[in-house]
Amino acid sequence: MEDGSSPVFENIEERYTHLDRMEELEENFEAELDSLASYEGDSLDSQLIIESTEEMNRLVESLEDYREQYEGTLAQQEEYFESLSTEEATYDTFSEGIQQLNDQRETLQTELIELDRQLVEVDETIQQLQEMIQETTNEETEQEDTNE
Amino acid sequence: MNWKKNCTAGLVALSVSTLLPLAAYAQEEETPEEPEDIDTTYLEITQEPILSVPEEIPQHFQYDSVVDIDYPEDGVKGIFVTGHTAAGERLNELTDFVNETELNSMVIDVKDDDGNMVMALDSDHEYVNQFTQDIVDPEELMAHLEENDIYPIARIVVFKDTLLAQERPDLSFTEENGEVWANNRGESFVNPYEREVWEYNVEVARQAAQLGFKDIQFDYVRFPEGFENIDEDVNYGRGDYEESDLDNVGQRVDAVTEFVAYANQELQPYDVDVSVDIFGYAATREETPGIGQNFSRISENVDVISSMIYPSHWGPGSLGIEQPDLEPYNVVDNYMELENEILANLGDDAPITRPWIQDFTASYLGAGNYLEYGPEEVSEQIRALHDHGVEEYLIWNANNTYTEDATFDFNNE
Repeated sequence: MEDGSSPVFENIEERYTHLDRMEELEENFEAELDSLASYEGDSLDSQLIIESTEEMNRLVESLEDYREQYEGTLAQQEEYFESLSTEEATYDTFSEGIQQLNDQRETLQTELIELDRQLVEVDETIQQLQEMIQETTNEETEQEDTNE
Repeated sequence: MNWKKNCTAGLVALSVSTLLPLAAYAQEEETPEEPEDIDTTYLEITQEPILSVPEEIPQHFQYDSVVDIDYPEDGVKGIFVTGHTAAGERLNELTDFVNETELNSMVIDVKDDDGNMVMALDSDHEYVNQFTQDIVDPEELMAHLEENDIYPIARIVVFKDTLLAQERPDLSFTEENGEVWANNRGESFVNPYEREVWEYNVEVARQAAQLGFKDIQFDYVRFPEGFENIDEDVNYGRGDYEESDLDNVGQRVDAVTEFVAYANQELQPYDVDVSVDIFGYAATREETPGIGQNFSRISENVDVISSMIYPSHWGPGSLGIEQPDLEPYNVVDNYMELENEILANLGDDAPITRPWIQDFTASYLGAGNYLEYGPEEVSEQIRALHDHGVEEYLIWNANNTYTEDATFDFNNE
């Protein structure tokens, strides 16, 4: 464990990679939101678009917040496992560290439950948007057919 | 319309991909029980802890009492010592006795048969402090044992506890008139179904381990004898076992076994062995109907099993012997046939066997039914153990008056 080659450190490294990927997705998602927010046409319900972007922005903020907190606990996990390899480590180091990490995990779970709730809402919003887009597309197609 | 496609794909990707770190997060969990997951729509959230203290604590992290006494190379060969004996001049006499023989260990009361702590323990527990009689100076005792290289075993009497039963009848068994039930010797028990009782006794055990005892020996890990005859007549709670589908016997066995498993788990950080005293007859049947001891199941959860196989405690005809107290070798010989078979069946889960043997005269059996126990009778029991490959034993005499001229080790005979 001392040289950081233990599977537990590989696991932590893997989760850092996932966090990086999560951040990329957030950025992509934000770009999509910008695109949505910049819609200036009049075929779609502008009020729904405004409400949707606000809701999705809140989700992004929550995700960022969760990711940052998770990153913090991950750093503490890394620190904890490193501390176990020191000569000063005792049973208290071992067991209290486990307790502390479990407590942090519980706090994160509360955030996760809230995130899940937001995801449900956003999913509903996406469906509404898709229906609206589909309807608009159909109308435009019918219009084009009629014009022909 | 390009924005529509991108936006939708982004949303879908986001909701799926954000789960990845959580999946990895769960990989380090390893717990035997699986708590229910939280009811969610997209995210899988389990209530399991991220980490748990393992069953086997790495040596590096175990509690160090700073008392340095190794496990005896030739196996534990010990005598029982009460708190009063440990506090007085008798301790020196017994120390000389141990030093001059092949004996090497002492089983010393920490919590006695009434429920007293016989020495001060560094605990915040209300009842530990309330029921402490400052008879023995634990630091002096441990220093003495360390100096003489005597392996210290802490005896903790668990469910026979008149003091706690009187203080907390709700943790005991009560009669219709509300009085605490007592056996014909006036002893009361606390209820093995009550988790609070478990925690209390394990707290005593933790403190004993911190003092430097190397083995925590739980005695009276059982319901009162003959409980099957009174279990419908006394009042008591069943705690977590209220909803059990098992019959009364099965529930009692579960409660007793699970206390042992709990104690063993809780003591993992202390680098001590956990041992349990058990009725000899528990090995002769699958389950004891009244007291709730199942030899195999208890054995699976301890480091050491100490059957009380005193010849005087077997009824006429037991183990195929008409008057067991008259045949100490044969009692132990026949018993070990049975026990070794059970332990062999447990394979790697089998504990060390360290039976209690008899060094007292059971004159209460009546003329012709008992022997005056002395060097020959004690030696014969030890020889029978040796003949079955058992080199560990504990010698019981309630007054701590031991036969000095017995043969305590047959390896050199």
